Amino acid sequence: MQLLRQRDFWAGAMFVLFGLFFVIGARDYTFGSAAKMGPGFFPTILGFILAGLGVIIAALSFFTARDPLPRFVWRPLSILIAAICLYGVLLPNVGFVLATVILIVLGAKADPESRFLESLVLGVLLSAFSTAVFYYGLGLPFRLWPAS
Amino acid sequence: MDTLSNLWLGLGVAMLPANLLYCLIGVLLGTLVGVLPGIGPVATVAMLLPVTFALPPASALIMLAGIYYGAQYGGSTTAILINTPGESSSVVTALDGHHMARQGRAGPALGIAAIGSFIAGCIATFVVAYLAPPLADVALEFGPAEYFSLMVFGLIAAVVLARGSVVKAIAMIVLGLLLGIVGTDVNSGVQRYSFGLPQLADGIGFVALTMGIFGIAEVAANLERKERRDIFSRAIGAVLPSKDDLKRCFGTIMRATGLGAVLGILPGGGALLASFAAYALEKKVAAPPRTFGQGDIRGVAAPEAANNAGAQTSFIPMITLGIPSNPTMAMMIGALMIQGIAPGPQVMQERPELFWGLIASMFVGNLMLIILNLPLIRVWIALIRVPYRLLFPSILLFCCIGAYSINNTVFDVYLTALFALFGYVLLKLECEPAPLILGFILGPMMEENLRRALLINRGDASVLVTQPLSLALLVASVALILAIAAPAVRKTRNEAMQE
Repeated sequence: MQLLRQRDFWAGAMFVLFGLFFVIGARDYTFGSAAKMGPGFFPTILGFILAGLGVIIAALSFFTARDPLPRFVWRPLSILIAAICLYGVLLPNVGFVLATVILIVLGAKADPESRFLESLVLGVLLSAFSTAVFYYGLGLPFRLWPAS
Repeated sequence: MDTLSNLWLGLGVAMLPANLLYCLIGVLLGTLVGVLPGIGPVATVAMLLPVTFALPPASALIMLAGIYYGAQYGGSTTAILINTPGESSSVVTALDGHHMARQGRAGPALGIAAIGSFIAGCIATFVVAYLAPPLADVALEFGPAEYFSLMVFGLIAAVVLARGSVVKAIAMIVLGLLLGIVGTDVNSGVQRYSFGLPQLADGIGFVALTMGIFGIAEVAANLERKERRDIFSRAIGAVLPSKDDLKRCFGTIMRATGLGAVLGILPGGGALLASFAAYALEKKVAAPPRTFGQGDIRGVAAPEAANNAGAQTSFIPMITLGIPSNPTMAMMIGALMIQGIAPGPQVMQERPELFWGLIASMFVGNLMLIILNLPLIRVWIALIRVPYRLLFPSILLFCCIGAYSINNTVFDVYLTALFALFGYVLLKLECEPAPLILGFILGPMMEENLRRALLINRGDASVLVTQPLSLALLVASVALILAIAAPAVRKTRNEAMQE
């Protein structure tokens, strides 16, 4: 299918899905009337508009047929996302200092050229720096070390 | 009170030692992120939002504003020295600036960029000081119908002036509006689209949203591009332009400042558009001999003066109307809301020290920038040499810290990861994220004003077109959409964007 290789076909599909999600979700909320807009009024209307725009975008891609869907390079992004999620798990448990070092060492892997020792040093330095600035300087309430 | 005595009041606020310090931090950070390619003022302001919790509102605004106009200064350094714009608004500066650097005139190019920015910044400060109060007075008279139509106009205009597909940009606005209303509905108390998660009761955290999209997704995209930077290593030479250079640039700087100041006020305007337009204008009107594209010093002065003027006047709609003209201004509105201040025309009357302190700090900040930047230029050059593989882990960390500390929960950290994925998909599908952020900030306000407008008129939607001002704004919005659809306009717009 030629259409499935079109960038804007997928952009349009995304907007249609989002639009329908909001329209369907709004069915749980009172629609009300124009004079007394309920919580479902605004999202229902906007959801329909969004889905409509999505259809237009996808349809236009059928006629222009120029821009192919670019290649998605998942490796850097998934490493970054994994590092962030792990940080979310570690921060309340092992504390800011260690979680930060792990975040940097793991996150640096998103660049294939990174070297382990270099990112470890960077992690230690950044951890020390941000502990000084954010914990001691600005007084942000982190747990610094693992709970004993 | 007249403007000058107000400015005097503001100067008193801006000159407080603490505020001087925050202004300095702001402009230094701004220059830093301006110099470094791959991180912009939007992500930086978002990262710093949690920090501003602890500050008084005036100090917070002064610091965040410094980041925005400081970034315009910094962006030029990278553009001139390594031919990669540090900031999108410096794209045009690279054309002539890098040519000058290769001709051994890097010093004067850097110098004129700083001087042009300084002059433009000072003049633009006066524009803001004189223009904002009357505009706010007008806005105070606005009813909900006018406000609703104004927001429609602001959002549409922002789209038309942006690059890329207009339909996609409008869809992004609508998606932003929808994401903006997630959370507790102020009128009925109903939790909308929160999936029963208590963390979503206050809505989606916009710090997580911006950091995911403008921070992490950008990093991922930069990592796959793998460009090697060609760093300029020859001597910079004297940074002060000659008297002859200054004389040649004077008219250019004045014209660019004027144009930049006007374009900055428009919704969707700001630094980026101003720099493109000023360069295009100078190519036509500057006194011959014109060597634009081959190292004409006026090709550096024009975009740099214009982007600084535009950066500053884009505060006008933000302050007077509470309507952001670009994503950085959306962040500023977020900062105000964090401080418990509802943005809008009443801010100027209720908190004069806030408004005038901000204005006066722009003077102070511009002065700091020119004093610091010329001697510090070598420090910035050293920073450009830091490889990206050492840089992006820091961005990653600061995004995580920022997301966590906004509410002190890891929920926002996970949300950042989710929006990073979302942002990456948007990048690949070439959906500009800027309109999404604008819609996101305006979503709840727009719903509320529509509700009030309809309530007052017993559900009769015709109020939007029977109020003259509201009608005019809606007609203007439709006209903008039609204009962009017209082939001739579309062609010039694409050409302007490609230069």
